Amino acid sequence: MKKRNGIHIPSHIVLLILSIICVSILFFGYAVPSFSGGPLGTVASYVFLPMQKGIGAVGERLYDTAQEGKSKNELITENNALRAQIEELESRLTNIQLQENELESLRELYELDQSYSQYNTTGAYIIGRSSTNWFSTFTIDKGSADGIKVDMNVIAGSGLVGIVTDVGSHYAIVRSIIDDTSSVSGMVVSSGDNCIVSGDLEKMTESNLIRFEGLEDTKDKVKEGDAIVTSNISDKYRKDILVGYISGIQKDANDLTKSGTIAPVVDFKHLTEVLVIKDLKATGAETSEGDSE
Amino acid sequence: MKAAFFVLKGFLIALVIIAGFILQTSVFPGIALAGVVPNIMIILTATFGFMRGSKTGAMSGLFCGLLVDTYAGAYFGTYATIFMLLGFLSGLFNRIYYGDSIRLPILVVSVIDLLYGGAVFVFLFCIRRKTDIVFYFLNIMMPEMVYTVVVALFVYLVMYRFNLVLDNIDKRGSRRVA
Repeated sequence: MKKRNGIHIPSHIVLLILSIICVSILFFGYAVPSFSGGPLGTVASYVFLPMQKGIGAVGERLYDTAQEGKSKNELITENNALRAQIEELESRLTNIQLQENELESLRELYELDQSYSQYNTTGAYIIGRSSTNWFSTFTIDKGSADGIKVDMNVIAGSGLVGIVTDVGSHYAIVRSIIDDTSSVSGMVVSSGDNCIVSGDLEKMTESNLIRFEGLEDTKDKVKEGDAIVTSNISDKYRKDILVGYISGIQKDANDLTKSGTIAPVVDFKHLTEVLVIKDLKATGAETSEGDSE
Repeated sequence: MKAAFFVLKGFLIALVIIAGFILQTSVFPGIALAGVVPNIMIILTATFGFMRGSKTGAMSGLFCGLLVDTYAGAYFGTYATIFMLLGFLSGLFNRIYYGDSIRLPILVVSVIDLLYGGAVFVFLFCIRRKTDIVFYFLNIMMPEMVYTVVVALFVYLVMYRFNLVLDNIDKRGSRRVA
């Protein structure tokens, strides 16, 4: 059809041109770290977001109706399991209350008040999720216009969710700690040892866990169930945000460090709203652009 | 005049892709099965490819990829490149596409989706020393492919109609000029 009238460009030339465009975009994006979608990002801010906000609600409703369809037997078994869990949690709660009293007195002593409430936070809704099954990023409905900046930490109620990696005027992209490329410098609360907490797609799909490695625990003090928080030496994450609890630990082949798995405290599957900590971590080296986290 | 029809077609295609993208990021995560979300961007790239030919396939693939890139937070352009090449590849099937059978669309969509999974695995996982291909194949690529093909059955019916609209525009364009 096209051949009869007007210009006809052979498809391999089109392929060549588009490949060149793609490669130049890749290079440009790599060379200019602040470049994030450029004009497309702006379009996204004004066109997609309002629609996603509306349609996202439909998606959630779909999910809810799917949940309502659970059978009676399932509910009974779930009920039994939950009862058992309540008992276990109650016993744990009393333990924790004791520890909390101790903690409070210690805090008063040291005049420390390191709960999350001290941070200047802002709430945001999750309006879109990564369109791939390989990575775990999501979009929130606040952006640079609301004061969100790259590298701000994102938490949700009980613990760390992730970090802002990209900002548009009215949206921001958050990479969650369960993303395969995420790594956080963590610290075991009980012993104060540092380790690297990294997301792992394999562990995540198998058992909803993330990994930690490089833990130097020469005295064998760290055990399953220990809490891991973000460490004070991390250059992007603020310290003492709860990440999760150790669910498995083993010695590495080098016999020096330990690695294992962590059960994150945040339920990433049913996350709808998050808190963004608006205070960036001050590391002293403001201009450094290191990849390490 | 021909340019006007060309722009009209491009506009319609872009509109469909944007609608697909919004569905992909906001509705589909709600209907995820076993943690896997069907990939509507791949369906669109593949269908435009085998329905309209390599050029349209490559260009709509590029557009799909750019959209995915804006929300992916990886190196900008990675998905654009992958989708563009897949769109072109899908366009090679245009020669044997007659629109009368559902077998070809299903076959092409599944092949393209597997290739997409493979490309993501090679370019975004292998290079970070995560090389357990059997695991990723069984747990991510295969489920995604199956789910995507199921969704593609429905999407294809819509896209078939949409393609007829585009064909109409083509006919009108060539008639006026001739």
